[in-house]
Amino acid sequence: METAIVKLEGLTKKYDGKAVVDHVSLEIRPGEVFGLLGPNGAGKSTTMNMICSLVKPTAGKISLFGKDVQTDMKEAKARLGYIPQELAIHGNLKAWENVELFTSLYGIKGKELKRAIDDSLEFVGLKDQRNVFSKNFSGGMKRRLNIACAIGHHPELLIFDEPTVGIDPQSRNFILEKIKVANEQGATIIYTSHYMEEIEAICSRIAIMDNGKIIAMGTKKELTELVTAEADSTMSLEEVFLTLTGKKLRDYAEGEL
Amino acid sequence: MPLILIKNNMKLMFRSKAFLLMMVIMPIIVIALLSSAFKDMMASAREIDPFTVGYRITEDSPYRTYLSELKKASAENDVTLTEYPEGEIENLIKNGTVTAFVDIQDDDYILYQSSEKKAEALITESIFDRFFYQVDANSALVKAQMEQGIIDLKLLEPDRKTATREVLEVEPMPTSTDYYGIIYIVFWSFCGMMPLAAVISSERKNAIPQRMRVSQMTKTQFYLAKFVPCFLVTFIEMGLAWTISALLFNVHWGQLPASVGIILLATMAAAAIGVFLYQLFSKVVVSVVVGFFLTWVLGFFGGSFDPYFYEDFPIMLMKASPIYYVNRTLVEFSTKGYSDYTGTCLIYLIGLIFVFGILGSMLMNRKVEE
Ligand SMILES: Nc1ncnc2c1ncn2[C@@H]1O[C@H](COP(=O)(O)OP(=O)(O)OP(=O)(O)O)[C@@H](O)[C@H]1O
Ligand SMILES: [Mg+2]
Repeated sequence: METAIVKLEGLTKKYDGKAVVDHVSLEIRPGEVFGLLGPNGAGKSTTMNMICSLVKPTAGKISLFGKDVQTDMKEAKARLGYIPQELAIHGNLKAWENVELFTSLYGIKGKELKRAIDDSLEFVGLKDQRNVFSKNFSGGMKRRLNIACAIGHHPELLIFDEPTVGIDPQSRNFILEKIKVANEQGATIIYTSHYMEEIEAICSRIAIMDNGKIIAMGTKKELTELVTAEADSTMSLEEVFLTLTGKKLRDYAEGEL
Repeated sequence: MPLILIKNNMKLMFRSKAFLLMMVIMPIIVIALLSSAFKDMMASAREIDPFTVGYRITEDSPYRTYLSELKKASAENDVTLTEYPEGEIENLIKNGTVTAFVDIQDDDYILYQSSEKKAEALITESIFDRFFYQVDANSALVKAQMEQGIIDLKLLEPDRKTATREVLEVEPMPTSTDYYGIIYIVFWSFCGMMPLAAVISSERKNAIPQRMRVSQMTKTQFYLAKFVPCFLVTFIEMGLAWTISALLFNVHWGQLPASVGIILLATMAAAAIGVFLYQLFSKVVVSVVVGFFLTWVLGFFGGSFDPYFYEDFPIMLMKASPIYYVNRTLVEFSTKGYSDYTGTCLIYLIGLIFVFGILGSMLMNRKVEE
């Protein structure tokens, strides 16, 4: 087995004594599209933020590309692309200027930078809108630009934290397709969402998270087998989740929004 | 040097029209208003008919030696000084013999004015206030110099007339246009933290700080990406306001290269303080309000609202304000071509840049933890 790109061991984060991420251990291997599924407040973003060194873990260990994050994050940062849950673009900059700014943070300059801007905008389908101020974009276009700003340095690991919140089905499908393309081009993907159909559509392996804990992990087939004995069940992830937790995912996903 | 980040942050700052208006148009308007308000006042003063001020002076008053200078200063303002050793002062004013009366004593003077002649009273007051202020300052200086042995009293005695003449060399006064034209460029340079708010608020409104922290940039680079655009944009905007106001109102600046250098340092000091304040408070509004208040206080004591040579603040407060040194240096550049305050001014500004630069980058470090 290849070495894991991401390895979490007993990862825990407590806020005011309450564990919002509770002893999470998992491994993500090169070339995977790993889905992290959970309702609002499950601790998905906190987990992602700890992987990116944005939040300090209370306990546990994180390795990226085989190296301990605590001791050696600098190199890992160049190989990491992070698309935050909230939009992280300047409204008063044009699309290409946003991509230029964020790509330059990785020391890319000159011709290489120009090409990276073109490629990134082309990838998310905003090539024709490159000179439009991002404040004038629709919600879906902003989300796409948000992605373009994180891929210019050709990261090997892409972390998407709910990249499709609040956008229409067309934009969502476009983004999902593009994530598949990025994966085919060699990137390893971590994808968090509370939409089951997205996770089902693109992820090769799935972890279900609730109240800070991973309650089940595996391929969709493995997860289905956890809750039913039938060989080729047509059970949806939603039903799996419901059986595992006794709660409807949608209910509190939307109730807490 | 994170050049592309600096460039884009500058774009963000220049694209914020409110700040552009505030940093370029506002100083020009204020300079125009204040210098013309002063001109109007002087013009209306000139329309007043020449008038007479009576005076009386005690036998041993040290001010006696300055009488001829005082008469000259009064004559320049169409005021005739006439001595009335006898007579009830109030009657002299009431029956219209004199418009005002000054009773000069040993270490003080009393000014009698008629409440009916407000404009004349104002002019008289300003002539006397300014004159006695200068005389006192100069004699204090001579006394101090004598005590320190810089001036030899024996040498001065036989040649008293020329000696007092020299002492009387007063600081040349700037015109109101020159004064306000210079002082408000200085004041706005110290407001240099404001335009950076466009960048900081855009970053914080979005999740940009997170995205930046995931990148490979070092804390020093992040610091520079805030500090450099902050002072560069302010300096460019000030350059615009400066050029326009100097051309429109014919403001005389002295020692242009040195003045430009000092304004540049002032914008750098303001940027260093600004970046520090933005790091100190999580809310941009709080940083801006605190920053503006601080600048206002420093300006208040430094002569931004009332010419510093008319101020009667405790000298300590004035000397605590960096704006005072910058104002004084640049105004004296304009009136005399040199200033004894240049050194202090430079040390103060460079000190501010260093101290707040270090504090600001230390807070940058703190922000990474969470
Ligand atoms: N800085 C913080 N201080 C205190 N509590 C926090 C902090 N950040 C997150 N939490 C809490 O931790 C829990 C997990 O939050 P997190 O954002 O990781 O959830 P999530 O799974 O990403 O949810 P969502 O689907 O809404 O994005 C929430 O209950 C949240 O209130
Ligand atoms: Mg989240």
